[in-house]
Amino acid sequence: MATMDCSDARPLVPSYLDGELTEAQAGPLRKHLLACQPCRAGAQAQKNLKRWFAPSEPVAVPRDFSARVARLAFSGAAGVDEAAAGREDHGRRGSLAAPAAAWRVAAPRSTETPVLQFVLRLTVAAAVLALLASVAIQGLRRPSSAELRADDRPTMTLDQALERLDRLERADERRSGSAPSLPR
Amino acid sequence: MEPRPAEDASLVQETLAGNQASFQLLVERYQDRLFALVRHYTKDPALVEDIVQEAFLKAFRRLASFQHESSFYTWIYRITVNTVLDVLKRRGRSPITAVEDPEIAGSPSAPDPRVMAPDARLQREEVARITQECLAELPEIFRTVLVLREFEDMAYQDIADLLGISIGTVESRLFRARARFKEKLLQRHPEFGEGI
Repeated sequence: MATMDCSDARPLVPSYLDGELTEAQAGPLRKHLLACQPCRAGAQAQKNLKRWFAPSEPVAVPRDFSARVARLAFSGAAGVDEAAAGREDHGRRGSLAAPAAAWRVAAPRSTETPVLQFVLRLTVAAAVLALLASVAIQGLRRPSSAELRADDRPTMTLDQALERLDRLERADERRSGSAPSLPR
Repeated sequence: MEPRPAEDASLVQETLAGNQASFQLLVERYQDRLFALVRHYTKDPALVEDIVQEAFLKAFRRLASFQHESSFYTWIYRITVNTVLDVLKRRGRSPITAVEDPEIAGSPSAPDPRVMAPDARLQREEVARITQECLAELPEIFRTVLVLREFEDMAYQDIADLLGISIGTVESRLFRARARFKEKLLQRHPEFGEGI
């Protein structure tokens, strides 16, 4: 097994104590620590520090927590940020969240930022209003079908029009007297 | 409760198919650990509860995008840690400044004070209280690696994956985090100093 000096050993101690070294790395380090009192003392000090991170008492989870979260999730609970905004209003002991009952219900969606949602809704509303206004203005300016008609006579059928033309033609013939008739 | 990836995957699929009870089971499976994790960041039990609830709801909304590349536990853990950090950031807690960033600040040059292990006469609650007080004074990036490593017993690789950083960064952050924790501990309780 390869020997190790202090300068190689010291940087490896934290990883060794965290169980992050392979046996090929840990073996020479262990051997060095057994032989080197200063390094061993350093390693012991690091172990002492780690003992301050002892597991604490388990945290009490409210009995209905999982049921409440599942219910909120499937009811389409409001987005986190929306809820956070709501929470500021409800202010549960100054905590982040409002009580579950205060969560607003909305359809699940991909956008989660309330500002973004507000802007999107505003944009849609503005677009609809602009479209309606445009249609209304065009309606005001556009001439009606009556205005567009070339004459003010009521519309007539093709037969009526031909009959009328005949009458006009006959009248012209009567006025001119000798004018030959057009072949029919 | 230990993570059970195969069962978790089934529960995820059932949840996506609309089974509320399956999602409730997922919540039950990990709620204890997530409550314990979040408690390292705040003493307010209501806030702990709200953050964990928020994390689960975030996970639910993103469940369709869960790729099963990592375990559900790692995934929900990551969401919870990010939720905690977001919440604390929104509340202006422990801002991370460049000088505190280990990647920028480099190795500490201060002498290495040593601390004793907690006195056997100290109650477990007292040790936990002192530790939490010291942790609360650390910048979030240091507190997070310490919590994940020391309380959650996570491997460097898992911490790196969870935080999206390299293993080398995990090591350097842990190194500095421990040094800072030691400083805080000895400032508050010099009686636990060894040979100083």
